[in-house]
Amino acid sequence: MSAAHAFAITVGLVLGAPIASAEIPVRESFQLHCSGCHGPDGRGDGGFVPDLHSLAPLLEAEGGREYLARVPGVAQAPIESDALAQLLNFILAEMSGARGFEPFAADEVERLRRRPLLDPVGERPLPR
Amino acid sequence: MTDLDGRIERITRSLARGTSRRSLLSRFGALLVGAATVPLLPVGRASAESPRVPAPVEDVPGDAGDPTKCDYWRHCAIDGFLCACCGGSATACPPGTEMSPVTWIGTCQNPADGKEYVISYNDCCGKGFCGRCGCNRNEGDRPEYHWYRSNDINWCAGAESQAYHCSVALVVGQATEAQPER
Repeated sequence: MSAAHAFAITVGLVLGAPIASAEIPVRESFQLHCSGCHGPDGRGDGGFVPDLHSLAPLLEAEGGREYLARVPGVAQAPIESDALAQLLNFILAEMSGARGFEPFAADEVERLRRRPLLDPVGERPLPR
Repeated sequence: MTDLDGRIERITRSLARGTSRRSLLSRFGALLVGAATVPLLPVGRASAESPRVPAPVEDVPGDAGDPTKCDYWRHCAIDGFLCACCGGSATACPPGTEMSPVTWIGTCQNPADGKEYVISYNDCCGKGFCGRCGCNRNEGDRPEYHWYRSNDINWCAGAESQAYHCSVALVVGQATEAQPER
């Protein structure tokens, strides 16, 4: 990689990075970025919007962990990857019913969210 | 005087013959049933019925202003008809409409304390356009491809009826900073 390439990538990463944000409590982050559709308690709408309290089987399915960080609502949330990892871990710990899961790390989320799902329904490890 | 005594006695006896303790009980019962029926009257109670609709914060310091006006602070990113002009309020749907359980969420600054508050812009659905107090403020609004930050979407898509009537602006919490950034 040439120096010019490296510079262009660095500039691209900075300009294209999710909007910087001060330390926002994770519950507020959930309220701002998730609750509009999933509801204040994360239970979805009983049909179209998934219930976040039913995520444990998806997390445990093969490819499920990666899917959770790549699904559009997560990957495109306008927050930094460390805040996004916290938000995912909050949902998994407080709502999903999953037990003993490995918490998401910021660099893992950063890597996964850069591989968008082209077909979120078709690529879902478990059908809804 | 004897005449007056007689008349009062007749009225009292007639009252006593015409009513009974059962009558008192039945009227008291009717009062109880009537009181219990009051909550059945047709007012929008989507927030009370469904945990999917956020519970508004009741005490917002210095929550002054007129919810029927577009420049009311909570309306900073609203696009639609204000429910306060349509038989509802800034936080309640008009009778005969249902609050959409999906919505978009942003923040507005309360001029009274200079703080940002999280606002849930829920649409009220189930009747045609209200047509009163149209308000289109787009602070923090994003294009429709950023759908969960867009006020151009008919959020009644998530309700029983997709007919859009008006919008409310629920304060659901205090925000650390303005979202989306302005």
